[in-house]
This record gives sequence, structure tokens and C-alpha cells, in this order.
Amino acid sequence: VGDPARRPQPLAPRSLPSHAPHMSADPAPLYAIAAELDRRAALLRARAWLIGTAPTRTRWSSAGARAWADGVARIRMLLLRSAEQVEHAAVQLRARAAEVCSWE
Amino acid sequence: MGVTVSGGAESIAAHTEDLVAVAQLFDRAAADAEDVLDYACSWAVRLIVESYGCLGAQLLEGALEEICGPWSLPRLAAGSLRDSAAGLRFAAMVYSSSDDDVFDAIGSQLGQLGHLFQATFVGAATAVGTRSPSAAAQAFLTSDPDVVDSAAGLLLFTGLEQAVGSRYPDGRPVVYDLGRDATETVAPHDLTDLVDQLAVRDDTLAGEVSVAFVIGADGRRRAIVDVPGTKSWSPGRTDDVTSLSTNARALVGSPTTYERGVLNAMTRAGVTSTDEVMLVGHSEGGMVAVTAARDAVRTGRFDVTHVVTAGSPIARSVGGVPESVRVLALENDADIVPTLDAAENPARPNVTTVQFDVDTGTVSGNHGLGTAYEAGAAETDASADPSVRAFTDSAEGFLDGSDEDTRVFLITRKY
Repeated sequence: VGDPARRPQPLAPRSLPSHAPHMSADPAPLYAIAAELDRRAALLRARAWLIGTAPTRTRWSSAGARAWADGVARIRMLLLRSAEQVEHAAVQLRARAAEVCSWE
Repeated sequence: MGVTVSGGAESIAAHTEDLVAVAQLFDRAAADAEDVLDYACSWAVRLIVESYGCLGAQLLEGALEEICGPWSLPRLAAGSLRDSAAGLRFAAMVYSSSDDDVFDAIGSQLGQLGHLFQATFVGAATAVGTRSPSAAAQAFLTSDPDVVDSAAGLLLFTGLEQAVGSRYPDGRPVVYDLGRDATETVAPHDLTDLVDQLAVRDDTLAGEVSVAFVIGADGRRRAIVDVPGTKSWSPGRTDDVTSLSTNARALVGSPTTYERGVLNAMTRAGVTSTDEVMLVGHSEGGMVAVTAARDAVRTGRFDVTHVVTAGSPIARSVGGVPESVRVLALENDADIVPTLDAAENPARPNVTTVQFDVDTGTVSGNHGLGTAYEAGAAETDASADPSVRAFTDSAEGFLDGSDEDTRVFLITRKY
């Protein structure tokens, strides 16, 4: 997954010149994108939960049980982190939409 | 290391359909992760973002950069999920197979598909302390041989035998007398010797069996018949009687051309209905030995008194063996083949199942006579278990001779 500290950080808000005439100032399309991202992130969380309830009738040996548990835990963690990343993007998008559309 | 003796194998609680079900869950989750990627990185979203001007778009794209960029966790999750799903399906396929050749092929395929297993089962590699995907995957497979339970139930007891039988007629046996085996002249004295001699026969031609006459200490002549296992895994028409169609039939206790050939060879060797007979079989050969004993005793053709099987799934057929026949089943816990019948060996006075644990780390090694079952037989010989002792005591007449006269036969199939 990598070190989160090394990931590119979101751009800091800045002061920008006013909109040119052809530029959109309506945040609604951006909020819609953010809402769509939230919906899909929720799906990923649901998938992670479903995988946590995966059939477990197999009576594993100790080594097999470790391998299975590690594999499922890793997959669930990836899905949950994915959902977090998508939700974070939605939050960032809403914040930046408000900023961009507030430019005079 | 010791042996476990029981009237039946431990209960089996593994299900390959679970592996496939989880693979489906993984695939659906991967589709959702890919869907997020497709949406966030789509032209439609980009067009909307770019409508906010150059600087606005730059700011907005930054919000989506993590999803669409090299640090995209949905992309990583989707890839891992797809790989893991493929790995689970591959594992289910492996568990579904009783095929030595398939095992060998798997060994090479695992090398190529190792990343699939690495994706989900990194823990397996860690557990066995190796970086080799092939070794790790094989260790993973061999650590849970019981998981073939449902595969056998799904594939073998839901019509495979009927399908194989209807599509590929079993044919009729043609038996060739290959003469005496000058190398097999010393009579066996314990289970280890029996398995060792079976291993010698197993290294010969497909369909080759032997009939050895031993004069016991009581002066009585007895016959020991060695029946090796599968050499051909062709499901189609083949003159090799050890082919897959024989496995499918023998597993559920149906008579086979291989069995008829064994009985024919015994007649050709001169075994009479008054000679006590011990049948010794490995894998498929053990299944054939069980059905041959059943049919020979029922018809009165031969007096089969003992059967020794090594790595044979006989739970479905051994119940039909008359009580006068004593059966000793050697089963390596790390060998997946004895579990292919998806059932426990019945707990009967004349059926003794001896379990031991020899894990070579490979599927074929755990099933091999020389690599696993000779060691298991030696452990069994050393066991003081009363059931084991009762069996070996009853087989004393087969094991207290000094010389043996071995005749070799080749059984082929004609249609």
C-alpha cells in the first residue's frame, strides 16, 4: 500500500483571479460528482463487510488458517482504505468547489 | 511422529464451493473498485472539472489525483481482488483434481501463476518460510488436503461416473503374461516390505501388475497381488486401463476393466479358489483392489482375505467388502488423494484406517509410495495399536515366508 506520509498531499487553497466569462461558477456539478463518489465509496465499504462474512466452513490447518485470515484481512483493508480515499476525494472536491465558485 | 488409527478418517469440513463463492465476492468487489476508478477518471468528470477554467481545474483535479494517480488504492484493490479471485478459483480447481499429471502440471503452472497466490496468500509463503511461489502454494495446498471434500462431491458424485461411463465405454481387458520377475524373490515380512514391493511395480509399465506366490511357515501357498495406481489421466478412449475413467468408476465402487484384468491375471498366474490372497494397491490400484476383493469373494472365484491400500479413496466402496476380508488403509494426512471420496472410511471391524503425517511439501510427494507411504508403513509396523496388530497377526501367513515366486502381467484395454 505504501507509506501514506509519502503520498502527494492535497493542494493548499490559494487566492486566484476572478472567473473569466466562459468559466462555470455553479458548484452543483461538482457536488454531484462528490455525491457519486460517496455512493461508490459506500459500495466499497459494503463489499468489505460482505467479504468479512465470506463462507468459512473450511476447517483449515493452522498454516492455512493464517494464510486465509491474512489474505481476507488484507483484501478488506484494501477495500476500506480505498473507500476512505474516495470519501476523502469527495470531501476535497466539495471544499474546492466552494472555493473555486467563490472566486470573484 | 506417530500414526493415528481409527475406523474412519476424521470428519471433513472443507468446501471448494466456498472458495469459488469467495472468488465471486472478490470479483464483485473488484468491479466496484474499477467502477470508482472509471468514474473518477472519466472524460465526463474531466470535462466538468475543466469547465471551471485552467486554475480551477488544476485545483479540482488535485482532489481526484489520489484516486486516478499512481497511489490509487481502488486500482490496487481491484488488481489484488482480481488476482486473488483467480487464485481461489485455481486452488478450487487444484483441490478438485486427483490427477498426478495435473499435480505435475500444477507444479509448473504455479511457477507462472505464483503472483496470484502471492496476492492473497502471502501468509502461506511466510508460514513455510520460503520465497518460492510454487513451494508456498504447494505447501498451502498440502496443508489442507481435506478441502477436496466438496470437490469430490461436486465433480465425482454428481454424475461424473455416469458421464464418463456413458461417453467412454470401459472396454474389455486384454492380459499379457510378461513372465517371471527375477528381481522379486524375497518374500515380504511386514507392511513396509509390501509397500516397497508395490513401489517397484509402480515404476513399471502402465497396467502392469504382479502376482507373487509365497509359501508360509505353515507350508501353505498364498498369493500377494500388487496393483499400482494411475498412469494415464486421459478421460477418453485409451488402451491404458489405469486411465481416468477407471478412477471415476472405481471411486464409487463400480466394476472396471482394470479389476477384471487383475482377476484374469490371477487366474493366468494359477491362483485357485483355495489360495488365500492379499491385494495390495496404491491410489487407484487400492480402489481396484477393494472392488476386486468384493467381487472375487462374492462370486467365490478367489479367497481374498486381506487388502492393503496406500493413499486410496475407498470410503465409497469398502463398505461392500465382505466381513471375511480384512482391509488396512494407509492414509497420509498430507495426501489429498485419500480424501477425494468425500467421506470417512466406515468404522467396521474389518476395516482399519491408519493415518500418519508425512509432509514432503509437494502434492505428488505426499502421495508417492517411496516418498510418503513407505515411511507411513514403517510407522505402522512399529505401532502397538491393537487394530494394527490384529491385522498383521491375521496376515502372518503372507509375511512369514522366505521366498516368493512373482509373475508379471500387463493389462490393456480393448473396445
